Amino acid sequence: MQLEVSVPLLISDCTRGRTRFPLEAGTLAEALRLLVETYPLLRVHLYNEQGNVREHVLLYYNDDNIAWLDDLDIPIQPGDKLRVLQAVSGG
Amino acid sequence: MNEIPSPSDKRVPAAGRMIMQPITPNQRYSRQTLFAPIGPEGQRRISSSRVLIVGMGALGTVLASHMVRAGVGTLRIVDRDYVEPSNLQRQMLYDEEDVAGALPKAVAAGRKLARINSDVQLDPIVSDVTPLNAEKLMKGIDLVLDGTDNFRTRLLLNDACFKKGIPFVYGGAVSAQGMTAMLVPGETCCLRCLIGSGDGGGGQTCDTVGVIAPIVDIIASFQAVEALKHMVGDAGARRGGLLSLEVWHYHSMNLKLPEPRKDCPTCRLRQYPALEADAEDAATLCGRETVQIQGARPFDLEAWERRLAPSCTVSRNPFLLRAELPEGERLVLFPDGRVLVQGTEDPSRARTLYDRYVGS
Ligand SMILES: [Zn+2]
Repeated sequence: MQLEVSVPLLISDCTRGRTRFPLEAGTLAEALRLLVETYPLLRVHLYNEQGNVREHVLLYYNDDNIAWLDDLDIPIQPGDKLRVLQAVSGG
Repeated sequence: MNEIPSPSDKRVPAAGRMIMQPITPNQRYSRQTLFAPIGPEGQRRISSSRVLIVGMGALGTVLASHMVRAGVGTLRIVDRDYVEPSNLQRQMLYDEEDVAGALPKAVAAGRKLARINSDVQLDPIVSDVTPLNAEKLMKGIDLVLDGTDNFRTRLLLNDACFKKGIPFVYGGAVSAQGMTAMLVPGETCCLRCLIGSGDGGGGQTCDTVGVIAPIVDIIASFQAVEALKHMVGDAGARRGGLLSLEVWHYHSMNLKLPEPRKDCPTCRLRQYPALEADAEDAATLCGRETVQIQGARPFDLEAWERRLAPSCTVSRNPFLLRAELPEGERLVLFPDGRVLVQGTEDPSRARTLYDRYVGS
């Protein structure tokens, strides 16, 4: 199943300049794995050395922050979105 | 053909000479009270609200303009910095005279705001926000608006707000993207739940990747809308959620705010770690080659002008003293004992210069 991924412009150099692109995956867990396998440069922006999501990085699966999901083995449905956001600090 | 006089032409009368009567609230707020969700009762509530804005940069100046024009009762504005040329592109209350005078932002903004609405009780404060003064700055305040440029200060405001039960409206903007969320103690999660507890050193700032003015105005205006709803008591109209916008390629999403984290020290365990932290003696400002050092005692600027004049090029106004060092860096001394070392990002280099000229 295909889901749409979006990443901030500021790290789109890791995704061949694209801020929105499709990804084929069966489950959310697989999508997260394939995302950094397909775009290895993205890994350092999203995860720390321990493999945890970096602070200030927000990963949203549709309306839900994945940090609050108990289980990532969710089957991908048509129209699903995976959004990478970075908390914005400037002002 | 009539020649149009330029604003600097002496034949143009100064503003305000033609009409002597004071502006009445009915005249000033008529368009806002006609808006049904506000109405006369909402206006009365706005006029009795006491709002704190921390940071008078790009977000803060837009926020302050909205609050003062809307007619809040009291507006306290706090900023630690002074107006520089790179601010003029987007910090809408400042002009070239403020740069020439090296005015602290709180002072320059306070002067502009007083000319916009003299009915508002303005309380401009030139200061850093630290664990020592954060709660004091919120004394008597109903609502805190975020105009800061770093996560360390935001977490401090977040913790103080949640401790005191004051809503906190987060906003941030960089490049062409921005985010905002209204965080309400007892009702929503806090900023710590959303972004974690790190201060995000090394992230993208306006000084490293730039920023366009419209995104800042847009984010600050979204903050201001939620502030108005809060002041008039229209909780049902609250947008809710974390709004994320990118205005160059245009993406927008309003994402659900998560439940408070079970182990969040601020909104679950009531520990408020940012208020416990030691006030650091050196801090790098928003990546723009400036290190701040907080000294132990206040400065008598006149005395320091005499002391530094033999070795540096010194200029002074009532609010700060600037000393251009022969080493190439610049020291900026504030009466509250703070020193900005400009021209370096290296805290130890800053400390060396501080010790050399100011003493340890
Ligand atoms: Zn929290």
